[in-house]
Amino acid sequence: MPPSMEPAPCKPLFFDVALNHVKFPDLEDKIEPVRGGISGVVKSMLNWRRK
Amino acid sequence: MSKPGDPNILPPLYKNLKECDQNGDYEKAIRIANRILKEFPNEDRALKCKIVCLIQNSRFHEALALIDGYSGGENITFEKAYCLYRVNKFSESLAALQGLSAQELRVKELKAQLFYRLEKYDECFNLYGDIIKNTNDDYEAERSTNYSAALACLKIDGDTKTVSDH
Repeated sequence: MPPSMEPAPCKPLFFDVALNHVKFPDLEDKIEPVRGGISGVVKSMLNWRRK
Repeated sequence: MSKPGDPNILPPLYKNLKECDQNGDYEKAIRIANRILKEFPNEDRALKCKIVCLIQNSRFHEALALIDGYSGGENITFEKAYCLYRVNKFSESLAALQGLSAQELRVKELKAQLFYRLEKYDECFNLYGDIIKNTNDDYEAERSTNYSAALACLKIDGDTKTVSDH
């Protein structure tokens, strides 16, 4: 005789939300290096404003 | 043609790297990061990008090998903790998270998942209560599911909490 059937709790669904926090670092300063002088400073401020 | 070691090649390569990230093309991103690192081994930012790519493509052991050999200035503590979580080294992952602020959302989020895997359902449940109360983004449904999972496991263990308490 096989043993009688018993209900068993199913494994709850569980999501990996933390993976969404594994992200690229900011690369803007690498793409457009801030050049020296006042024009560079103004340009970087304008870029910053646009973000 | 640029000479080897010419830093002028970097901005376009980083631009390509960013585009790959936006498109989710992490294999191509790894090739670009490798190209940067071949000529500029101290380009920490490219290395961090490569680590993120490896993680996104589930290559956790390779990512951990890079992380363990790293001594540069980029903060890769969270990435290390995440890799340890994915290779089932839960206690080591928790220990790594000690190096970051407990108030950071990403830290709370990974910690909650670690508590679940460590079967610390009470801590997991309480932490999700806190996270859900303090966040408003696209992952609310996933977090609620995890919150319910923690509650279900607590119930199986004989606790008497209810979701409406929170």
